[in-house]
Amino acid sequence: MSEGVKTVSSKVISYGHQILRGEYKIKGVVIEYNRVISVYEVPGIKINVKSIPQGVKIILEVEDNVKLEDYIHLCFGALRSKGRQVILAEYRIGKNCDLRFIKHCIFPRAVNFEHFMIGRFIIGENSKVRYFEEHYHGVTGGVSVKAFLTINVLKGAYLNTTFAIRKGVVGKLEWNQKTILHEKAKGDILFKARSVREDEILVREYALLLGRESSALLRTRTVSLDKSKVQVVNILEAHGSYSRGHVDCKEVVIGQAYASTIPRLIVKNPTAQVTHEASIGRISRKELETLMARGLSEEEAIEVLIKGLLK
Amino acid sequence: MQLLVARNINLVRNGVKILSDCNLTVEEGTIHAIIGVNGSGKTSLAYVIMGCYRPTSGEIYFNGKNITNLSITERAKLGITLAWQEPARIEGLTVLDYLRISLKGSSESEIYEILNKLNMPPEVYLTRELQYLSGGERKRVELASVYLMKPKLAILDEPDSGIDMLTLSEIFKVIEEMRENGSTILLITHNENMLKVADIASVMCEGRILRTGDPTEIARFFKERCRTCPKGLKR
Repeated sequence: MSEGVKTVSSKVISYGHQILRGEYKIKGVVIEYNRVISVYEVPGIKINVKSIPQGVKIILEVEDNVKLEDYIHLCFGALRSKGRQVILAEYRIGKNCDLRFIKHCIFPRAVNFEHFMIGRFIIGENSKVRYFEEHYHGVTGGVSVKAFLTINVLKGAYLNTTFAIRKGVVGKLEWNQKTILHEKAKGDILFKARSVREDEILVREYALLLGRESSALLRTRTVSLDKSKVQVVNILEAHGSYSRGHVDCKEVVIGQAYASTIPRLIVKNPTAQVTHEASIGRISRKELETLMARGLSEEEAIEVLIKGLLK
Repeated sequence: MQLLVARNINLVRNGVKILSDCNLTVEEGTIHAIIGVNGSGKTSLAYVIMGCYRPTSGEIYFNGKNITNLSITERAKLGITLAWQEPARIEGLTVLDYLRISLKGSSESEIYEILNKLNMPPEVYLTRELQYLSGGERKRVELASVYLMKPKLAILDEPDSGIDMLTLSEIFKVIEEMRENGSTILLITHNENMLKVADIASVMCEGRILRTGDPTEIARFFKERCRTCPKGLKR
């Protein structure tokens, strides 16, 4: 495990350094600790970033009807090994927009570092937003991340969010996401993580189906190895008439790792329907044997299955 | 030449005897069909040969070598592979990812060729994930995966189930082509029409091989005796 983590890390560290030093010009924002490395605005998008003592405050506003094929790239990280970074973010997306965000949080040298983030999103009526956030926390396990996101998806809008941490060592991660779906709004929320060594992950995903005919899918995929610990809480609360929701949680445990999942479904409208499915435990024997019958060793087969699950 | 010999195989799982002194010999270069009603032990025998189940007693020889205690991977490396009756829905793996595992250094053009042979246009299927394929599509991908491995022994567990009649003829062609390319086929089925492609056939009942012979004769025997057998019907 350690060797794999080291091999991956050298490439990511080098990439992370280049991004955080501003060696790549990207459409969006690059923040290193509390320094604004670059801001590249595109027509229709206004980015206001202000340094605060331990981090930044960012307000990103998108006018109505902005449709972009390119990703808007947000890169928040730190090159220092110790300290605390605070990110206060507000994203206001107008009506009828079609946007894709990709956010990287990179802490390649962290030994004792805390990243604290409070994010508020408003997705305007009939807009379509895909948001992909990937973290890289280095190899020491010395990062602690606490993130609190509140997302309002307004009438007829669509939101797709993915959080992923698949390489290196996680350290401690607490991820809290609250998504409020208004009339006919749709949400597809995915959390993917691979934990190793003594990592600790706590995921709380909460979707509130507030509006009529709103819908949400909460998906969680985790793979816990070594002595790591993953706890997942998925809450789906339906108030809107004919709202629909589903929780789909799959947690794989390998070695001495620990995983738990708590799905909580609340319905406050007789026309609403919410469901859940969860599987937790070892890798499917049948899937392993399928790959081993093609000549892969058990270890190789497990690696293929993990990559597939976290893809 | 005998490629596979299963000798006095017994298998007990959860206190239930599934295979009972089962003996099977498969000659190299043949298509050997095993037919039996549901619950007769066909799939369990396939799993024992592949190494998914360890027999309670008995021995398995492959190319003269005792493989009874070898793992699935070791058997696959010797040239044995299995197309599952119900292929796994592996999350996140595309058809291309899955078929690449079987390629082992051969050209990727072979993937395109076999998918075309199975009526699965590569431009449509290569990027699709296994978990979102229908049962029939997954069966064909499974057959393609076995084909690409160029195995010495391919165990095909009910390759016809969930397949429409038009595609079935393509499956027959692929099975015959595998044999022409040097693979020996162990074809497991409960459909006597599948015996048309076989060179030799065996009937299985209550965990043992009851009779082995000409496929036409075995098909008749199966139709007349097993289909109406109260033990078979009970299952």
